[in-house]
Amino acid sequence: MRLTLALIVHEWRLQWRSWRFRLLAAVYLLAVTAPAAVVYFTRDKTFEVCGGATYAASVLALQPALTVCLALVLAADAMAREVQEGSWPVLSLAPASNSGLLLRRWLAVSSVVAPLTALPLAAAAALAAAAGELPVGFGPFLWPWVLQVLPLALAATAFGLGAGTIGRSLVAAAAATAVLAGLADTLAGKLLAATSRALAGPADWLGVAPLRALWTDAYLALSWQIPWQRMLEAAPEAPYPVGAAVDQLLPRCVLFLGLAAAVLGCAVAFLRRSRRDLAPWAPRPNHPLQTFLRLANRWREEFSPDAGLARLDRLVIAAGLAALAAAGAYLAVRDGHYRALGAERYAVETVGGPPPTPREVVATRCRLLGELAAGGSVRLTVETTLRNRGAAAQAQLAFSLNPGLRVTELAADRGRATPSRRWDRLAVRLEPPLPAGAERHLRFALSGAPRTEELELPGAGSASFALRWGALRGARFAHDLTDLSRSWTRLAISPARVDLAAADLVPVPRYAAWTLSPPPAGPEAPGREVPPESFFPQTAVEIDLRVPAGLWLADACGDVAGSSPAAPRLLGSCRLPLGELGIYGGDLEGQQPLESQEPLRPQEQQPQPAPGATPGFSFAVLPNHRSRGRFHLPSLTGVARLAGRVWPGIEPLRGVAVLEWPRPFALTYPRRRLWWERWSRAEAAAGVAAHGQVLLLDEQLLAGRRRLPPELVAAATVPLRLQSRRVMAPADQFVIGKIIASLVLRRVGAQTGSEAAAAGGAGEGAGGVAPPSSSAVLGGQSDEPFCVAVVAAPARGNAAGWQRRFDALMSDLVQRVGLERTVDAVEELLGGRSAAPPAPPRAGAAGAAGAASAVGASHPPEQAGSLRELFGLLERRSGQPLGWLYDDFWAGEAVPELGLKEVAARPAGAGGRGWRVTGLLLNRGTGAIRCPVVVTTVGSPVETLARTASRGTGSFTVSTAFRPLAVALDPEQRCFRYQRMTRDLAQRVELHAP
Amino acid sequence: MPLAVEGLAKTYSDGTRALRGVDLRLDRGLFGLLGPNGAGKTTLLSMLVLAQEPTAGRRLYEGRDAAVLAHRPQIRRMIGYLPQDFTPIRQLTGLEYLLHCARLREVGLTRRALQSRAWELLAVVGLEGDARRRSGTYSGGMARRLGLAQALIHAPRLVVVDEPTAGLDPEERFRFRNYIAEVAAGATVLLSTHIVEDVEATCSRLGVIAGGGLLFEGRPSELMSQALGRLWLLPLGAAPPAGARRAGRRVSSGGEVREIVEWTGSREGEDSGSGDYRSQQSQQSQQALQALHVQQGFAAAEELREFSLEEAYSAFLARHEAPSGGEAQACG
Repeated sequence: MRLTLALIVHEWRLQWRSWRFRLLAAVYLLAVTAPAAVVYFTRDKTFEVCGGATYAASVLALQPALTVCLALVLAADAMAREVQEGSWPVLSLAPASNSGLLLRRWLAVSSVVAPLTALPLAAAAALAAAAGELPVGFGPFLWPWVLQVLPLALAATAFGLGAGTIGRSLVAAAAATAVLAGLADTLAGKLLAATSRALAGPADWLGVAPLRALWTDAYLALSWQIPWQRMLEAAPEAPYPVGAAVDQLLPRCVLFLGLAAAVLGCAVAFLRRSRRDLAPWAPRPNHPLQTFLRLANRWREEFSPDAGLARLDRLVIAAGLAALAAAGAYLAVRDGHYRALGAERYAVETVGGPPPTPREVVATRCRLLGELAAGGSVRLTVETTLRNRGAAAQAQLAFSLNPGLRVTELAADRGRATPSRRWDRLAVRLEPPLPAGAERHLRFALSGAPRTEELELPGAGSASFALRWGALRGARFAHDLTDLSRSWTRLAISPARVDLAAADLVPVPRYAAWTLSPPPAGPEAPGREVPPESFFPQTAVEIDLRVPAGLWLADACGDVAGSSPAAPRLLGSCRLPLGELGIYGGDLEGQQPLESQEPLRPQEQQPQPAPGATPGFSFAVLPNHRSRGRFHLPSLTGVARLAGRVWPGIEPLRGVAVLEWPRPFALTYPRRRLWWERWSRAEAAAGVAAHGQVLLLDEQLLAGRRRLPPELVAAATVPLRLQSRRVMAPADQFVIGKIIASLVLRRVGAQTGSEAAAAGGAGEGAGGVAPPSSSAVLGGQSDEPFCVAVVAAPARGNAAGWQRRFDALMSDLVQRVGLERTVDAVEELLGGRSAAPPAPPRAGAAGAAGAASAVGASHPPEQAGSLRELFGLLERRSGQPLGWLYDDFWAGEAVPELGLKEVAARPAGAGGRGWRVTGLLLNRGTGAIRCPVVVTTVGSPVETLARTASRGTGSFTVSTAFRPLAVALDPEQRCFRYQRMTRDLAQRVELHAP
Repeated sequence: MPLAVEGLAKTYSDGTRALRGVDLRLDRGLFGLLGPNGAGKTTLLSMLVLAQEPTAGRRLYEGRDAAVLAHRPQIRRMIGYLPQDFTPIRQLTGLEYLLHCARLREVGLTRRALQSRAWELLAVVGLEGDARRRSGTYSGGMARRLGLAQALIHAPRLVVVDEPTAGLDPEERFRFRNYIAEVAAGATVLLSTHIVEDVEATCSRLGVIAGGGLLFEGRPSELMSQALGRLWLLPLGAAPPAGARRAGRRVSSGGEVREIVEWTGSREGEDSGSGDYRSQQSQQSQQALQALHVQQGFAAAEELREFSLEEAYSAFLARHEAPSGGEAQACG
């Protein structure tokens, strides 16, 4: 211990007096702390209020990479310096063993590096506290440092010290580092590819990935002149999920840790450079490789291990190598674990089955009892009453159940129920079968930890699992493989977020077949995805759960737990489709609607309602966002009044639990979303999700610096409430929600005169709500074909293009059908209002009306609604055919591409006055369109509307009293069409007088 | 016996035989190790301080065999070493450096006692006034004195100093000899140098190493006696007699330069023996001189009767290094 302390004191003294160290440390501290300083000094200009997590995240953008550099240089230099300066021969006479000396040196150097790495985070915490915008906790600063920065510093120090000892110089150490990193990252990866495995390497743990992202952002900011603070996004203020972080960090860091241990261990053999006796190896004088052989012989002598290694030294070397082997083994085991899970899921999905539950058998009642534990595990008893409404007895049932839950017991009130399980599919065979019209009570005992495996698979995360796993299976080259050991397990219950879906709590009857949707083209395509559920019978749900103390939870019935720490229970009951059941929450803090400035109504000005008796709404935010919650509360409370005004009968927040919803933690080095996502988000109040009576507000909305406009919240919540009346088909759910939101805004606009609202858009900066499109509300006459919009390339996946396209289409639709008729059609679709009498059919629309009646109000209530059904209702109400509109522009992706052709001008008849301009409007793209053509003359310009079919041509004729000068197509760019940069289609034709 | 070396041999990986079986026994006191460049001195010293492994042979330190790994920490603890190219850690002051070395060597003294010992040593080497200066600002002589202090800080029983006076001015060399002599009173000191004067002034015993072998081990007087009757002064430029080897030059007080040659006359190859070498060899020398004058025609040849240890050492080396029957080799 004395020697250890002496070496630590020595290292501190030495480094403190070294100019090289001072310079390095100063550069490190300034560079790492700079982003936090920028956040501090520009905090008034950011979109969101930045708390401690944002300051910590900004520091962590650069810190890992720079910590590696700093630690490597200092450690390698610590050993190489003494060797190069000539003091080592004397110092090496220390009686301590090689390992004792080297490990103590490692501790000594680490004692300098480690505190240094804590300083930027401490400075960032101080800045956050000085800013005073949000309370500053230790979590966002402490845990990333403990879990990532400190291990990184220690490992890099070990690596640098080892490499410096072996290489004896900084340059040699750097070369050794590069070689080893290259070997680990490239060669090993290539070799592993032969076994269809990949090794991702520790680059992202070492901070390369965030560095690259930072560089990209800086480049964009500089080249596009975007203010930096507009690209900043507040980091999550939710409690740091230590378990999830460790789960994700381990596979990233373990290889480097092992490598560092191995290098440090091996360096023990090279510490003293006491040259061992080597057998002479003298090449013959005339050997053709004499020079090289001599060099090799010199290296052999130079890099031969020390003579006389003590037993402890050998043990340390063995331990270092064992650590590397253990790291490799850990990755292999982890890879194997997730590979097996993925293979099992893939096999289940591709094989399909078991047969779904017949639609005649519905769960009429479901009682959920048990306990949720803070560690993520649950112990549940589910009592389900199944009723056979059909005419035949049914024996085979199928349920969805989270793979993390085990069915420890299954009992039936009559006969026997035999479960069989594959992945998330639970088949139950009833003996005797459930007779027609009879009920059977099943009692499931479940235990385990509901979880989701986040598999590291190739391809975009939005692609289906089967597609991505198939891509991994079919990968032919190393770069097509992914490192499955990077996969991790997301627990549904964590302090940061409790996200329990229905299948995480109860076996949910499955009615849709578990077969993959038809495969896309290509022999290797494994199919798309398991189709979502399509049948949603209502179930009476009762919940009685003991929940972890300190967590604020809400169930899909709108009941909350957490207001009473002494008796943490969640009690609730309601009717809803069982698939909508869920429990959500986390380390949240309930807020009193009393504090709001615009209370809803007297009965809602009660203190936090007791579970099960919720007259108003419950509202909970992250503790750090307490002030933000108070700030936004008036908007929330104003929503009900506004929504009730614009959509009578709707009380969007009544009985609803509204809670701040932290983003799911993923170790992507906390960083804001790409800035363009913010400006081009397709959703009209992105970040608002609903599950039954629970409304989840993305924490980004709460962090927003501007108060949420009530109309935007209404536009977000009204569709959610309306859609709770009837489930929409998943493929159309989003668009129908958008349509309802747009109608809400149009009604608000109509009532308040707000142009932006009337346009169906929303203002920028309103908590992440998409900006108004410049499409405005152009529109032709209602009987004309589509004629609205904006010039854009509406590529799929391009949110900005989609938004503009949607705005244009919606404006056109409302113009044709009328706002109120559209609202009525939506109401009818949702089953909330009886069908209004259809408008008198116009000429040519009788067929459409007849078709519409087929999909009218007679839909079965448990059948999912669809966009096509809505269009049928709209046709019926407007009395005009809209099928082409739906096919071309809503379901289809028609994009007209227009140009002028054969334009000519001639005098209007012999001796007559005036001119006649004719021409053709060519549509090289798809979709029928009507677009303005403007003839400029020596007098005033003349405009006409030219019409063309999909991939066709339409003629136009313009008569004018003045001599025409030119013909321009849509000079104000109002038509929705695609314009190529090459402009190979004529957009303007100059006319010459004949 | 503090240090015993038996049959120590070293062949480098390129085939160079640096040591060819050296036997050496050192007792308390100062032992000078003389040898020309490339003789194997540094190889021998590096093996004695465990920086290098021998190809063959044993190294025993107070009876502990260095081949036994468990002995090495104790052996290292008993060695003080001043290498030829010693450089202190320049960011540390002299005092800090000494204390750091002491802690590395696990000196079992209290903090205060250690400070006291460091100051004492600094005073001995004359650095007490510069103890709080960064050692990076020390002159070469000061650095070597600090090197000696670090070699002694843990009170070693075997001190190995390699070329300690190289680059020192005469005054510092003189002081250094005194320090070494004082140290040798309580320890075994192995002084490796090519400056014979240092050895002559301080060492009670010396060894001559050349060509990888220890050619001589004994008292300085014994080396002197080997040269008696074999050294001759010849005029500068005169062709040496057959079998003679050049062993240096001597400048008389009048400025005349003459060449010293080692020549055994008719008794070439015989040893002069020991004891009162002057009286024993006198008659034989006379006969040889006459033979020289008569047979070779060197009328001006003169026997060198008063010579230094350095001249005797040079003659010794000339005798053992020159290829037999080849051309004479100049030394000095």
